[in-house]
Amino acid sequence: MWPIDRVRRRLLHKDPLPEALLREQTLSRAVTNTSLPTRPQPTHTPILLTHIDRDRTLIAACCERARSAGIVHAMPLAEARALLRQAPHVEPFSPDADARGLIRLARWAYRYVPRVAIDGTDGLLLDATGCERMYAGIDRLLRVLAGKLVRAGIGIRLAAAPTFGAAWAVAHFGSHNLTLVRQPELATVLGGLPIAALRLSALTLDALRAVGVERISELRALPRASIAARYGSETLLRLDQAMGSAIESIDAVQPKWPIRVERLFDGPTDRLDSITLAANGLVEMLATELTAKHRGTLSLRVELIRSDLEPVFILIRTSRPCAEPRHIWKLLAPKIENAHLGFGVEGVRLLVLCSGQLRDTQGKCWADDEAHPPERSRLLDTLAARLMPERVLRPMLLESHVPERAVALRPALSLPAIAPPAFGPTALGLQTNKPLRPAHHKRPNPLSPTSTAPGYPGMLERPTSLLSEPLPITVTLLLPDGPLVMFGSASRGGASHRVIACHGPERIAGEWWRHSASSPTRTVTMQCESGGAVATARTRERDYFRVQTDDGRWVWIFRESALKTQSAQNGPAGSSDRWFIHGEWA
Amino acid sequence: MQSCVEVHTDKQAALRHLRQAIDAVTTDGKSTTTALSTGWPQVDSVLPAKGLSCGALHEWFGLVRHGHCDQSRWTPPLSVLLHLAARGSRTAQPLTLWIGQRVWPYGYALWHASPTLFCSSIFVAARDAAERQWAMDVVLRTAGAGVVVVADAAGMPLASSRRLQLAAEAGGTLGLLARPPDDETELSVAMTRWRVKQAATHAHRPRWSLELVRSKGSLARIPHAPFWTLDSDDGHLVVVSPDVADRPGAAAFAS
Repeated sequence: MWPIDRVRRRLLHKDPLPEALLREQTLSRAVTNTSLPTRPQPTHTPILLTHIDRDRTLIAACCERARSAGIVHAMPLAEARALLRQAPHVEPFSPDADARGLIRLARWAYRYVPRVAIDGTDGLLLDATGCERMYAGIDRLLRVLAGKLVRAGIGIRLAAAPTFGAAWAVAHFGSHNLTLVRQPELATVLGGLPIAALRLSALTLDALRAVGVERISELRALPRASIAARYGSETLLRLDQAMGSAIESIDAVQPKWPIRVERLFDGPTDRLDSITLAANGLVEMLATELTAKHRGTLSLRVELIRSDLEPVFILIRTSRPCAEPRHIWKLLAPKIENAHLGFGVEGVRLLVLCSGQLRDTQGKCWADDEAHPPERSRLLDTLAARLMPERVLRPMLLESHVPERAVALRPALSLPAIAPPAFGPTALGLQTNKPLRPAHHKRPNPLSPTSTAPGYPGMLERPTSLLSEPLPITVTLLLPDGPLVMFGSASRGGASHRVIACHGPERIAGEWWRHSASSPTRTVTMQCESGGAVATARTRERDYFRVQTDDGRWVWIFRESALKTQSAQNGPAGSSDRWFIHGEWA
Repeated sequence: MQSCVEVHTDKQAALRHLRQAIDAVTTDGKSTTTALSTGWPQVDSVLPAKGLSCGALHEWFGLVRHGHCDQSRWTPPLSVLLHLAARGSRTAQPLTLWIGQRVWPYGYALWHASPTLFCSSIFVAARDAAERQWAMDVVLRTAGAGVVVVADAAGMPLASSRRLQLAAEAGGTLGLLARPPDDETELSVAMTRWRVKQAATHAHRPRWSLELVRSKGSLARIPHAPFWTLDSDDGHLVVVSPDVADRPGAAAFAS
């Protein structure tokens, strides 16, 4: 069932079907009908779609599993829930969303056939005329389509026949899920099907059944003149359309053509200025086309078609839909200059891979009244285009109190646009699935940025700069487990610092929710500040000290305490402690 | 000009008038640039614009790291830069760019300085000095109130400094450049130059000494000792008088 399949696909986070990438195909005649009635699917959660009728929530559609539990159409939701052992997924039945999904499916089908039309609420009519040559036989095309759709989790019944009417009839009333009807056997196959397969109105069907006509062969046996006189000309037309003696036209879905502009040169050229000129002209053309469609590019692929070499692909991403030729060119120009031209470039092609709706902007009245966000996103685009997107980052607080993991840096382009300073957690750029909640601490009041909530690590508790990786040091203690006197670099051994003040310890343990409580050793992944490199280190409880050295520096050092069991074996406490320097108040 | 002097009998007033006339000529008739208050009245009072003027570069000489506990020999004065960037993020649509990994502050410190600053911060990683220069140039040129650039400008030559100053003028942006202490001998066209050092005092919290090395157009007005002590009191940076910081009892109290 299409509505159920659509909902299940969404629940399984399957991507929407890829938009049609079209092939140029010639039109001739042959007809396929795809219809999508029920087909059982393995599922974990029963799916129920409901609609509200006179203040009662009734079942509009349900999956196979729910049906086997005894749930029927128009049953109250409460009753359906009682019948199921497992909590079902319930959501409102939405014919509009189903229709939209079907249109997307139709556009996807354009990659196989030249014309696709929507049939009813759950069917597609594909005009596969001439495609048999492409796929070495119409039966192979059928198998390819069936395989793709079944893998996509869509229950299908597929039938191919010389006419739309026959294909529809076989798909809905045939005995198999996948049927291919050829011209010679058309009359035989159709003759065995019930008259409902002719897409007649219920009134006509009742009238025909009243005189004992059940099968199409029985209808065909009647004299044509009397059929038209008694049951209307539509009956005759449907019969003729199924048999192929009347023409049936379909109302094809408008395919979505990718926005693409290209220019091919007369011959290969390695002159950069002509390539630049052509590309600049194409950007202008693209911008005009985008503006006309009210779209903006988010991701644009520029291809330099080289002779005897594979084309150069240049990808340009923008943080918001953009249809401004100047901005696109600004991002593109330095990349074209750096591109390897090989033995010469034969043409330039621009293909919009991803686009978004352009936002309308109010015209400016005064010069001061400039809208900054577009400038800002343009600035980010420019930086990201030259330095690579992973080098333009935005900080993000995460739910952790391990210092190096509490803050993550993410590419700025992939995150939503800068939240204007407003009130509330969502305004603070915390839209991640792990929003800020420094463990059992209250969030500081954004209204008074400098006020420190009690218990929240303030300026004095956290350094202004954190080393990307803790640096091992050697320490001199007055007593075992006693006051800190001196520390020095462990690797070089040379310079050491006298400690003149020491505050602490502040104990920071690894996040308990990351590890099973039974395992005493905790392996934690340490995220370096650069964001990319990930090193695994064994992190245990740490005791942090704020230490002032004799030259006035304040540094943040910590002791990684040994395991209790280990230290008990090794002797006095502190003997197997390791010390690190982790940050500095600069 | 003769008439000006006649109208303003007071010499000071005449001078002020002339200065305005010169400003009008040199800035192409643009309105005078706005200034970002440092939040320290004692410091603001010394500066000609009563704050760090936007559309200009301001250089901050960082702290030396003795003993080479890690790879780099200096560190930018992040506390001071955070304080100033937080003041800058109070504008309507703030954006702060931290160019160069060395000037990236720890996120918690950023958040603590101001949540608004945290949300409006973009960290830019550049591979080398040339890329940093390029990024600074692009960002400084972005016309938009509230853009503050904090950048690592180690070893920047005079020519680059000139170019960046022009970019900052074009965009009206505030450029805070962190430079290593050795760079004090390098010439630059920055509007102000500051030296930040650890204040070797016996306090319970970090303290820095701030020194105004140069301030364009106000040398005559700067008192003999443009020198302050900054104290991280309750998370804010405040100016305290040096004699309070170094009072004899402080050491005994700390130890």
